[in-house]
Amino acid sequence: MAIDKSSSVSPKAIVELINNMTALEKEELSRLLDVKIFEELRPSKTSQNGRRIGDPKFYLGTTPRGLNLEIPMEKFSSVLQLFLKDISPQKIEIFLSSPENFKELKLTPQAFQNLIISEPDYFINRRALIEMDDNEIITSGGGCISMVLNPAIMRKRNELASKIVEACGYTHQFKRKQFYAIVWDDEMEIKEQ
Amino acid sequence: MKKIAKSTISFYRLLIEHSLKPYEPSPQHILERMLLPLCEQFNEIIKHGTKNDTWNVIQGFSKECDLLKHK
Repeated sequence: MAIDKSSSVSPKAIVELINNMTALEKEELSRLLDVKIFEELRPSKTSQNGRRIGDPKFYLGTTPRGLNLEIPMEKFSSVLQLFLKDISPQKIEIFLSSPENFKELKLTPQAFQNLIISEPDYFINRRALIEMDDNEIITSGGGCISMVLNPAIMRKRNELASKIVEACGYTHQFKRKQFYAIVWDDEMEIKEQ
Repeated sequence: MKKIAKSTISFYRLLIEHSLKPYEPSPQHILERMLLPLCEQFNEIIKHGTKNDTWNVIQGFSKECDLLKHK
């Protein structure tokens, strides 16, 4: 049986090797092979400490002072709107940053609302620190968000988190102090403690 | 505190929060969403900031590190 040695040692080379076998050799191979051997060769989706590796479709989790989110960026305006409604801030300050440019904006709540309604994509691919009174939101442009909440809003954190989940197209009412919700494929995995 | 200092501290907090998640974010995510913004802001502070801004950032980082003490 001739094997092209220029092929790299890869699945392609193995397929070529099998294709070059006679029917009898293939039959013998099928008796010897255990599929589990190949499954063990697959790259693991979890790290050594058992945590899954990768970036989920959606994540919402509590932090010591607020919430951490990974949401579809197109939902960011909706999340900002419900945040604006829930905390009713008196003043809003925004610090936008990019490699070439750093800019500060001071807006009234109404002006801010007008901005996110008229330009829902305003924060897409922008890095921004958004301060609503003494609440703080940092976004790095891809739906990756951290919120630091003042004590009054912290007391309503479960309610706010449930609304964010809903704004992103899922449903869950959080009941405990610490929790996370995560979506990798379609189903939402929830842990509360 | 200047906004640049506050924003830099916030991106550092975001980085710490990612290390505490129940999953391990991809290296690309860490690079794009946290490390590049931090590097840009460090550059801005070096170019246009004051020693006081630098002190505020380090002090802010130290406070965020307290979050890890409870882990």
